[in-house]
This record gives sequence, structure tokens and C-alpha cells, in this order.
Amino acid sequence: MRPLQYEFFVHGLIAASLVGGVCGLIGVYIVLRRMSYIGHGLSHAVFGGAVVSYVMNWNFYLGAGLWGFLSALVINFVTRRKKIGADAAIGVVTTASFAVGVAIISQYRRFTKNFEAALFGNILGVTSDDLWMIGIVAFVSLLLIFIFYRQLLFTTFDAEVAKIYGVPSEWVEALFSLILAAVIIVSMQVMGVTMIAAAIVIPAVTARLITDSFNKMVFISVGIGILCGAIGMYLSFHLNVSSGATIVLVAAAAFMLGYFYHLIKGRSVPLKKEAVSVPGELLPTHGHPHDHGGFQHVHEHAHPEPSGHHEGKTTDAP
Amino acid sequence: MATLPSEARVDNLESKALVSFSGVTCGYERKIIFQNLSLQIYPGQFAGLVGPSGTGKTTLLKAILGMVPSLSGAIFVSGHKVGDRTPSHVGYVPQIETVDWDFPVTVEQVVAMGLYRESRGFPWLSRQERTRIKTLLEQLGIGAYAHRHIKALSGGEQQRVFLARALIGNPKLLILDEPTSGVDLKTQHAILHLLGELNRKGVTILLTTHDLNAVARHLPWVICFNQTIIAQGDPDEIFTSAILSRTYDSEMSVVRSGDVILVDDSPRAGLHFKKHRHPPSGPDAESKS
Repeated sequence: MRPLQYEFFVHGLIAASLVGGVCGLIGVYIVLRRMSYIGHGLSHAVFGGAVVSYVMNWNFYLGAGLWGFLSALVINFVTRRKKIGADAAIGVVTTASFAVGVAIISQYRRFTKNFEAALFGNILGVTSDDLWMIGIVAFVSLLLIFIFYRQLLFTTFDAEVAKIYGVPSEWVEALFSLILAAVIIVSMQVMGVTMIAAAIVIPAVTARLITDSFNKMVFISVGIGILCGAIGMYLSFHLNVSSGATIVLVAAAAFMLGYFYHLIKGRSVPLKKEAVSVPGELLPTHGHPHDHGGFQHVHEHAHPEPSGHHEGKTTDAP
Repeated sequence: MATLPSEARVDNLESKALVSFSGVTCGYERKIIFQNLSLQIYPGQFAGLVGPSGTGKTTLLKAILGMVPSLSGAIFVSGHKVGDRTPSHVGYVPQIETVDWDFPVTVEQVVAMGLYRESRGFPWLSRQERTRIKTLLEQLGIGAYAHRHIKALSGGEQQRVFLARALIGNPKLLILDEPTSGVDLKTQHAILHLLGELNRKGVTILLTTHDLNAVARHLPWVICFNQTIIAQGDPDEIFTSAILSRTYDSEMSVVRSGDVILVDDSPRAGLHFKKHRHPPSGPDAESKS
């Protein structure tokens, strides 16, 4: 049986690959910020927004998107206060948001079944409109991450210091929260709330095990995400197993392979610390004996001027 | 020991200061770290801030950088009030312990972060940027490590990477938070020599350190700090038993023999020897001892 002859499968395959790729992309920043739990939490928070949108008869993407974005901003704000760690902030904000969804569902029991799809994914129900939405979000996310590459890299590495060097860290974090919320919303139908976190985290951590280069990590993570989405879809079709689960299981297998590679390769970082002697204008390049108050000793000196001088004999009055 | 300048002279000096604290109070949430602090750092100064842990040294540095808001008073950097905008032409080297060494970045990528203000917005580095980074790394003696992961370097080399990030934007003021912590003695001296060379080239430097030996040997100006300025001036004058004991809230003895100062800061601590120093580069010492 050739699955590509079915339109629903082709839609699912494209959706899973796009979602896998874009989750792999943002996953790099999530994992390096050590906020892996945010994918899990935010997807639950968005679930609350989705339920509210349904009840209020709002557009799903708009309602859930706004809800998710606000949740991410609140998490960032609470985390910045430092007294509360990111994990606790995510736990409080997103669980409360999820609880709102559950509470509303318990009041309106008639649509309980619709939300099973949101919880566990329904990739076979992906429509052309959904595909367009996934495609647009993936493209815009890619574009924004490309445009704000330097800001995102610096902020992810050290947000506090980035601000000193002129990076508008708060704005960059808000922008990233917006991207994250959008990606989670379009991924909900494919992966389901319960599986999104794995799609975000696993490709990125696997890529981190394989490389020490940030750029390579981005490409490997996106590649793993796309491959896991596509392979997972095929396996789902042939094994007649839930697509979200097979995608995550394939990603978990990729992680195991990455882990074995990491073990075989040895430590992830080439800890070569051999001395490399490079003459430098500012570097102390050689030493000679001299004295401090009659105590003869040797330590290295730079000699930027031909005559050379001892540091203690120079003046540096401004 | 130097005398306090007159009020008129203080105003004149404040206007010339590169960094000026005027009655500044800083703290976190409800805890005041220091209050009503007045301090000036002048162009060309090479000053070390010493004092016990938790008494506000890092907070003082962060206040200059706008990372900690002042609860009262005002801080000016190059005549601009901190808080109105992030101070430009300031390089900052954070405590090395705060760096995420597992983060997958190369030396070149870290240094390139310091070029953010000048970058054209492309994700990749221009040829000119690469050349600038390469030249600076070579000057700092780590040119061969440009494409290495930051974790693959020794402590001194790692410190130079972050120094390079601070220097790449040609700062007027360089702020370093414990640049000599976690490195061996040889590296410590190499780093301070390097900073001395930078200072001679016109960079104003303010650093914190716990190493009185290093301050005595390499720095021309010291500020003893314990929630307030206990004393400041030439280490030769400032490193007295009375001042250091007040600064550290514990008995500390200082022995002098000619040009040599021996500071015995604990029964088992090493002595330190001092002879060379540079003349103070600011105004007359404003000793508050």
C-alpha cells in the first residue's frame, strides 16, 4: 500500500515535517536557555486558551495564540525577578492556564471529544488551511530567527550582559515568546499538547550531543526534526499507531543514537589545552629577571616599545 | 595620605570624571547594599575595588552598567546619566564563574558579540569584522583559538576571550568583575600585566578582586569598600593595618620594609611584596580613612 496516494497522508507528512523542522529550530534556543520544560508547559497553557477561544467563539489561532503569548511573557517576567526559578514560574503559570481549560470543559461536556485531538494530536485531520497556517508560521519563524540571529544568540548566551552591549534583551525575549507561542499553536493539531515538548526538546538535545558548534546544532536539530516527522508519519501509517506517538518515539530513538555517538566520540568538547604560543602586542611574551624591593624573580613582560620597559617604571597618568 | 578637595574643586572634578556616583543608594528588593555613595573614576585611571564578599563591589560595577537601578542619587558615565540609556563605550568582563561553559560557541562567536552595536544586522560576520577579531585575538595571544569551543581553553585564555569581547568595541572604560579569580598565579600576573598595558594605551579600568597581593603589585589605585568607601588612593598609602582591618572587619597586619609592603591578612596567608606602582591618575586621593 502506497500511503502517498492518500491526500490526508500527504497533508500529514508535510505538516509533520514542517512542524518537526520548526520545533527543532526553536528547540535549540529553548534547550540552551535551559528552559526545556517551557514547551511542555506552554502547550498546556495554550490548551486553556484554545478552550476559551472555542467557548467565546473566537478564532482558534488568534485566541490560543494571544493566550500562549501572554503566558510566555508572564513566565519571562516572573523568571526575571530571579527569586523564582524558570521551572517554578512555568509550573505555576501554565498549570493554572491548563486548569482554566479543564474547568471550562467540565462545564461544557458536550465538546470533550474535540479536545482529545488537541491533547493527543490528529494529524490525519490536517486541512489545506491548517497546512498554510503551519507553513506561514514556519517561514516567519525562520525569517525572524535569521534576522535576529545575533540578538538571539547573545541573549540566549547571556541576556544580562547582552543588554550592556546594546541588545534590547526584553524585546528579543518577547519576540521569541511570540514565535514560541505561534509554533506551539500550529503544532497542537499535529503533535497534540502532550507530545509537543518532546518535538521541541529531543532534536535539539540530540544535536547538542553531536556537535559543539552553535550553527551546526541549528542545522542538525532542524534536520532531525524534519526526519523524525517524516519517518514517524510513515511508521504511523504502516504500524497503525498514533502519529504523534510514533514521531516522538522516532525522535527518542534518534536521541539514543546521538547519545551512543556522544559516548563513542568521548567528551562532547575537545578539551585540548596544549599551549599555542602566538606573539601578541599586548601579551606578555617573555620574561627576564628583575626585582621588586630587592626580591629577585622572573615574570613575563610585554615589550611594546623597542627599548622595552618595566611596568613599574612607567607612568600612566591620564 | 591625601587630603579632601574643596567643594568647588569637587564640582570641577566631578565634571571631568568618566564615572561619577552622586549620593547613590543601591539595593535589591528591600535590602540596601550601599547608600549615599559618592565616587569618581577619572579618565586613564586603573583602579581596584577590594573588600569582603557581599559588601557591594559587584553591585557597584553593575550600577555603572545600568544592570542594577539606583534607588536614589545619580550615576553618570561620560556625562550621561545611567538609566536614561545603556552606557556605550563601556566594556564589561563578568565573573568567569557566571559563564555557561557548555554553551556551544566558539571564541570568535563570543568576541563577535561585542561588535553588536556596530553590526549591520546580518547573521554572518563580515570580512572586516573577522579581520578585527583575528587581529585582537592575536594581540591577546589567543589568535590560534578563534574557532575553538570556549570550554576547550585554559582559565587564563578563557579570561582573555571575554576581555577580547569587551575590547573589540574600543571601550573608553573597562569594567572587570574578579578577572583574576579561578586562575593560577602566573596567569593572574599575565592578566594584570595585560590590563596594565591596556591602561597605558588609554583605557580606564575598574576591577574588583579579592587578591590584595595582585592589587599591591600591579594597580596604582585602590578603593577599599565595605558598603561604603573606607579609603582610596595609592595602595602604598592605603594598605595599612588600620584601613584593611576596617575594610575586612578583621585584624590584618601590614609590615613595611623600605619600599616593600608585607600584608599578613591571616595567620597562614601569603605575604605580598610591593614596590612598583603608577602614580594616581585621578585627582588627589580622597581618602576617607
